Amino acid sequence: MRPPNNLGNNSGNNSGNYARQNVVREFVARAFGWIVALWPADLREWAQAMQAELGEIESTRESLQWLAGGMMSLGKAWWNEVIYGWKDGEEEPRRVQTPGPVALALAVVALAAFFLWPSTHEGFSAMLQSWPTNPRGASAGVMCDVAKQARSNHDARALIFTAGYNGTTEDAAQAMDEAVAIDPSLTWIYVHGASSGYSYYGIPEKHGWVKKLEAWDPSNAAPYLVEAAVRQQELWNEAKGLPAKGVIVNDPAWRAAMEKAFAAPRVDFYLDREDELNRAVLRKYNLHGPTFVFSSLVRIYPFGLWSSGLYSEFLIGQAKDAQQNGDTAAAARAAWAVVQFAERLRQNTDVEVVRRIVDTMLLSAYEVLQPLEVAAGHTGSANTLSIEKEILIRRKASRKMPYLPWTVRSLNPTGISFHIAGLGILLFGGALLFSALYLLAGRFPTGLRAKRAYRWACTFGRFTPAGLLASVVLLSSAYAPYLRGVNLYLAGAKDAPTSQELLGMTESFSQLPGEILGPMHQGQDRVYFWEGLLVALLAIGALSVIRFAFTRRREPRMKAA
Amino acid sequence: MGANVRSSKQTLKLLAALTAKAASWHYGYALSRETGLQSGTLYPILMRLEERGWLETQWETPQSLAEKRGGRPPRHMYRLTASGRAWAMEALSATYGSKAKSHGRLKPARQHARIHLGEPALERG
Repeated sequence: MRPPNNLGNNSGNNSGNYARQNVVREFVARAFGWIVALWPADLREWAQAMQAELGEIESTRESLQWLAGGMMSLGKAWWNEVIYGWKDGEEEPRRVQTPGPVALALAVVALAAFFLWPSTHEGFSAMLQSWPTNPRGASAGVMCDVAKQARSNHDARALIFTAGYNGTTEDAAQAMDEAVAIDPSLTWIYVHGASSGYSYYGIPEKHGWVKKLEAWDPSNAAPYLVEAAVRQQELWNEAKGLPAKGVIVNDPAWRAAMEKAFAAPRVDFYLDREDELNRAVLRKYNLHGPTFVFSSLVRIYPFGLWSSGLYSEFLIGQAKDAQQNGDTAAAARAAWAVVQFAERLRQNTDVEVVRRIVDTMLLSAYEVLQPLEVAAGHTGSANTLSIEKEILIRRKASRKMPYLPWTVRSLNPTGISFHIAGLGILLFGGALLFSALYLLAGRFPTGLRAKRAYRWACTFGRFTPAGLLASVVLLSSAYAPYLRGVNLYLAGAKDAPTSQELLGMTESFSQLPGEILGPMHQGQDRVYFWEGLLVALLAIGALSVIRFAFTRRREPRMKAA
Repeated sequence: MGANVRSSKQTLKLLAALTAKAASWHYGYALSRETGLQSGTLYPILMRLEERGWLETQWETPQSLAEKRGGRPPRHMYRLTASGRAWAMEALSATYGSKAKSHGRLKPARQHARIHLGEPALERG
């Protein structure tokens, strides 16, 4: 039975003369129109029945309650439609609608878009990889595969790139040695090897990395900075903790290494070489995912900066002491040594953290040099130093960026859209696959059409293509800007995003998994996320079974009419 | 549909209201006010009763609209069918009969149902 004509429209605007006295009631009327439209077609008159009662409700509060009831009833109607559609074995009811040509077209478009747009299928793969099931990340397996290929192909660059995923620290060090043996022009990698936590295990010393580096590039300060860092680690181990600054600067071996570093004509951390190596490996092995790009970018970090800063402080202290003792020549010599090293440092690296350290070094040196120049009567030079000082002070005050090259950001819309779209593809894609297989099998005389699942298959087949297409479009829109940026970066294009920007992008994709899964890998604070989820699902299942049993038991018996 | 109709407290409240004036048509909003049931509870029960053939439904006709309601939209009306009344009586008497015996009293709505069922309402005490 259907309502008379003037309720046949689902738009919600034909609610007769329903008194729309205020905005809330108008909203309720409109919302009920949507509820009617969303109601299962064969039961829609019940929604219209509820809608028709709105004219009788005078209180705004009651009309809102009526709307809430409408929404609840909508949910129940759909639940009953799907779960209790009809019993297994019954004949297929006439009202079951199989997926039509529109659903089929949408499914084809969604699948074509998924497989043809790289931003979609690569984005989906990246989404799955961003949810690691182990602390080393889902990328660990891929990296191990690349490492195996690299070893069998004698690919020195890939061996270096994957060294960190190559078992123990000793194994990783051996992989680096193996790579340098294949291609000695890669000896510079020991600078980064020494900076990646290997010093803690005495690896650089054990493998002779410092001597190899100093022999390979003697005019560079970096090998001497590595030597100083190795000595610093030894002092750390002796003190069983961070030694006092005085202990470090008074250590002859450390100071000798730093003297050589400050005297070297170049400061080269080989950041450009590592950047180029990373790009080459990422390109060659088609590793575009945020996890790989992040791990390659985050490793580009200068080494020995802390030692440089400490030695600068030591030199400036010496300059001030000499100044007080009237030895202006010694004071100027020490301060200019700091300035020269800072300038060399700045020439080689354009990283924010280096700029900060360089500025600190220069400022402390200028503070010593400027009065010395005034006293010497060098007015022009003194004025220049004064202006430089002012610039440095202002720049220091205006800097608000965090110290580290990668920043911790709050959850952002791109990352959330990325994961929601990925989840949508999983759910809608799975439902569509089920629907397609079931409907296909139902074409044969298997009795499947008489099963309750047939209704699910029909419902999924009608509605999931639209959901899948929407998810595909959303994922593509979230991931395409990143993918475009990565491709430009790997190609070395001029308009490629900076490493900072790329790091921000990669981080936006990993933020949500990090927030949820991060605590899982923190020792005693481990949160049993998956276990908790499993228990919750089991509890829901058990409650559903109990409720079903309870419902059946309480059904009243009918006497024969 | 194969949904079960449970003799829940809410269902019994509704049955009591419907059986009180079994021959008359009832409106959803009026039933909601009478029983105190929210629309989200009331309508799913009505749907299940109708599905079982225990509830008869009808839309107001346009003629009566023009006469009675000044052009307001037609409303959906409900009343129990014969089999629905039989089931309601059984459900109500099975529930309130035993409770009344144990407690010796009924709430007004239940008394209403009891009266309709042709049995004397139990007095306090």
